[in-house]
Amino acid sequence: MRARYVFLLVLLLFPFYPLSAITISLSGSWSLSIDSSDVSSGAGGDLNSQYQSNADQVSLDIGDLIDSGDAWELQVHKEDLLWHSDMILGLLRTSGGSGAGTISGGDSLFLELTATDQYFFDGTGDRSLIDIQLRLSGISVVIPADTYSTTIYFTVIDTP
Amino acid sequence: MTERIIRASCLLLLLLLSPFFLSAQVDGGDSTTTITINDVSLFQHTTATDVSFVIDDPASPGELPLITPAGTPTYLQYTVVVATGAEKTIQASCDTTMRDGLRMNIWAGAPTGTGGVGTALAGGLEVGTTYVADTAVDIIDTITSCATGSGGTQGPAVFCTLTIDESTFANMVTVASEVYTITYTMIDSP
Repeated sequence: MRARYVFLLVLLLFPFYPLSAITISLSGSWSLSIDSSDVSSGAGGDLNSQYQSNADQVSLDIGDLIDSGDAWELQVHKEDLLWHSDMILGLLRTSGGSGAGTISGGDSLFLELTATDQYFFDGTGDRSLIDIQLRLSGISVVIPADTYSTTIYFTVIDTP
Repeated sequence: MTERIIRASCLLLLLLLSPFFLSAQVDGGDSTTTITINDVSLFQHTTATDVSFVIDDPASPGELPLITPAGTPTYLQYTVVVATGAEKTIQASCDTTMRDGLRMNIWAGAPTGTGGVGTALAGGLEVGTTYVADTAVDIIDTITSCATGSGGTQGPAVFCTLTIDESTFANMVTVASEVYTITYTMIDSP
């Protein structure tokens, strides 16, 4: 009798197992160097406050969905190695990539990254070469000269 | 009874595990962003024209010669970015030792702007002024990361005055004209 329930349990779980096979891959990082050439108003002026990467600085692939209707959601957060509290890092989706599925959100306003996961955009099915642009703002002379670094983590969730 | 407990346990387990399988989460990508803010030292002096002094007859016999003008402010403007703990100093120097009977003074007003614009120094041979000879002297120190502003009258005003040095006035001789060049330099503080 007990074996029957175990079998039933395995049988019930098995159909859901393929849903966990979703994959995400990413390429691209951003390095920015700020120096005296970024004081656009000349001696006495402040550093330019905002900088943007190339539109395709980071490229994402989301794959191995069951079919083109299989929904997913992308979340992001950052983990700082050394960062200044005035510096704000933002992300914008600049292309939807290609694939059988759909994609929406994240392409109108830069999302300001924090240390906790936030919704970035969502879609269905496989999508490849989704381009992402980065923006750094809040720069001024009050930020000490140094090398600052943070890592952006992308998490894809296969939603029901 | 036992069968009911097992059945209930299986259903509960199924209920608890289902969301996990229905909403799989993959932490699959990360991207590093590196921002390097380099040292910045941009510095300018707003002198529009050279300052000319004329040494002439005194207002009354028996008084010291009259020097005009009394001194017009110009402005030092700077953008500085330094690492934590680092400082800059602005110095003034004159390319030639002053002629006997004359004393040139350079001093800065209180700096204004954003950040660590520094402190104007009171010192030198006279209180509140700095005597300029052929060696550089500090006029503003403890400058850290800052921007004074780049408008026409932004940044600390600097004054240049020429006065009679009574201690060497006996050796003063007439001369058609002489040119002294004042150089302002921003250096790393030791």
